[in-house]
Amino acid sequence: MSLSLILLSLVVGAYFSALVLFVRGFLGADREMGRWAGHLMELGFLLQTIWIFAEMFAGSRMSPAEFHLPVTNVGEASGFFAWSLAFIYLVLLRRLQIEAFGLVLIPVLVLFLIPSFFSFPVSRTLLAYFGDPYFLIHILTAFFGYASFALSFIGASLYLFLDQALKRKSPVQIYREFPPLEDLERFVFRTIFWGLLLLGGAILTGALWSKTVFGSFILKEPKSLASLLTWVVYLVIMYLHTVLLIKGRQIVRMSLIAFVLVLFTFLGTSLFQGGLHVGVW
Amino acid sequence: MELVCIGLNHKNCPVEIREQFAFSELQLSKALVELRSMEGLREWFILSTCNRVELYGRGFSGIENSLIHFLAESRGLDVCYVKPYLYRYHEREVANHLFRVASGLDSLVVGENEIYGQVRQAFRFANELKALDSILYQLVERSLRVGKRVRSETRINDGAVSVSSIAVELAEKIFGKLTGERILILGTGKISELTLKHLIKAGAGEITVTSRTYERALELAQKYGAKPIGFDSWLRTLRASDIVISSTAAPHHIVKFEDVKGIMLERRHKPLFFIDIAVPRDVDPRVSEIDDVYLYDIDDLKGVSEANLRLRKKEISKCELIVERELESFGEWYEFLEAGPMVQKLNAYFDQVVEREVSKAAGKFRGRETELRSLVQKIKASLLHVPIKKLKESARTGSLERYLETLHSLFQLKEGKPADEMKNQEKPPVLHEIDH
Repeated sequence: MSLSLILLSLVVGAYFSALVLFVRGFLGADREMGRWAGHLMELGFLLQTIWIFAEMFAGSRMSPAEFHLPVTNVGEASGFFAWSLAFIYLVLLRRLQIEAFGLVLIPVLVLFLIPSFFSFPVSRTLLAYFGDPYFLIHILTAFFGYASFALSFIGASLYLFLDQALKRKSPVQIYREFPPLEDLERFVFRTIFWGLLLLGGAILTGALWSKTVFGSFILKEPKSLASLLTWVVYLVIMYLHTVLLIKGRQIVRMSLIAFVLVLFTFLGTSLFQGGLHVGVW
Repeated sequence: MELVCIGLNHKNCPVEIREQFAFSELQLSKALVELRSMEGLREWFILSTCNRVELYGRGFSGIENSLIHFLAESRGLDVCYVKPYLYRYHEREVANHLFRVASGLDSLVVGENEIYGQVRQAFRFANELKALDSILYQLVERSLRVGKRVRSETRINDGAVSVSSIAVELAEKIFGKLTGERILILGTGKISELTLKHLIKAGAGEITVTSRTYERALELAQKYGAKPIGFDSWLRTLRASDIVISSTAAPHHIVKFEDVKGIMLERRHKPLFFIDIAVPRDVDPRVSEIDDVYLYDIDDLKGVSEANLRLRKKEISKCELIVERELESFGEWYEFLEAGPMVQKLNAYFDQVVEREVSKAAGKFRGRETELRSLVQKIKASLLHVPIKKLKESARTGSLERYLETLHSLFQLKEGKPADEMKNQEKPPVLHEIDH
């Protein structure tokens, strides 16, 4: 078993244990469970960070002096996305952490980590571009941007669940551990804000990179167009919320629907033939 | 010496009886001072709340009757009248009862927090007036520890159970921590006033009161620094309100679906929470179909209360386990008090023997006396380690008496009064240690 797989198994083990504790805490077995689950989740993230660095400097594909972002195939990219999600939640949104959120986020993290256990062919095309700083920033911001939108989706789902529980007067134990609606709404729009900023950065650096490499701002290809559309839709939602001060269920539901575009941009566009992003993910 | 508790509570006495026994703060201090002169009483403690009056005491036999007489006389009642209402606990039962009381397991609303504060307050009073000494001090201090453990390790105090506190809890589930949310009161019922009080305490902001009788709205408004308005203008105020408490005597719905629908558009769907306590209901139930409007009527609130109580009751077994463990620990400590004087005497006996032999050999070890003493003390500690450990174990298993007798006859140790002699050795913790 390689070191990479051992590390990955430890990451999944830590996340899984955290999930078990979150569930136990949620079901009311013990008050302390949630706190321990949070620590285990942080441990999982720490181990995953080590795994990311180990993958970055793995000299199997390049000379040891160089490094690459572990996004050169489906397995690596999926694992890196899981790490981006955990990074945004545990580091950038540290103050907004919600116990109930961990319960939903961990299965997502584990799901995205599963492909990393398998080997996939490496994209040689990508490896060639890692030396370009625009390209590097483009990849990083894109991943973090999508991760932010994914978190806003989870927040919005929790919001709508709590909204319905309160409206239907569901038993208290169902939503006892949930944060208030206002906090969830704040979480949704904070993550959308970060998503807009990061995806905007990704679109911009992507265009600049294509200008340096290909001599033009290539946008006429599926992923670039879809990214731009996603960015505009989220910008409109943000405008409605922060400028026109529209609050509540409708606007949160809109953000939930907008996530379909993120899925399409991130995964769906790979089904189309042609374009710069083809054969990557 | 015996440990006793006499008292009455909500389980065996209706409020009209309980109020005859209750001590005011001033009366409590006076009673604690008066108990000093009671013959045979070494320590005492009084717990008086709206749901219970209990007198705890430790002293020589007969203090139970003395405490009953004292309670009757201090309340100006006849002993024969008082006696049938009282329950009496002795020794271990006293600890069990106080631990359960401090945990909220003996309360009218299981798991309520107020009783913990009341026990702590009574403890402060008794301590300040030097009514507590060693054993009762330990007992009350430990009961506070049990109360704290039960509340932090289980969910016995989770979820509100009164209508007013449920309303606050739900408001906080919608708006988060209340920070100036605006309240509109429609009608001036008792429950709506109580709910208002809770909401203000939780941090709610501007309050507007309206009633069909303007004077009543004015009266309530003045009491809480609110703004009274005429009943014909409440709909305008509703636009800017976040929480509405309604309890008018109207025979039909006064808050209509169409009105709220229009208002929600103007509010840009900022959440609106209706607490409808009125019967018949004031708010059209269809209002809850509108996005971002949350409506709870009196039955919904009662439903939440019952669900929370059921949840609390599920936690009782966990609490009982904590009480049981703490009771065992207290029992061990209490039992070992009997062995305390024997341990002291055993130590003294060994010291005496050691001193005699060291003095004899002093000439041979001139200049190395300190080393000699240290060595001898180490030998003494090693020799006594197992017997003292055995004594502690026997206190736990209940065979202490046999060991004490054996030690007594083996070393010819004199008789002693166990607990009293230990009193001064067991230095009680200072109050701030208990608070945290």
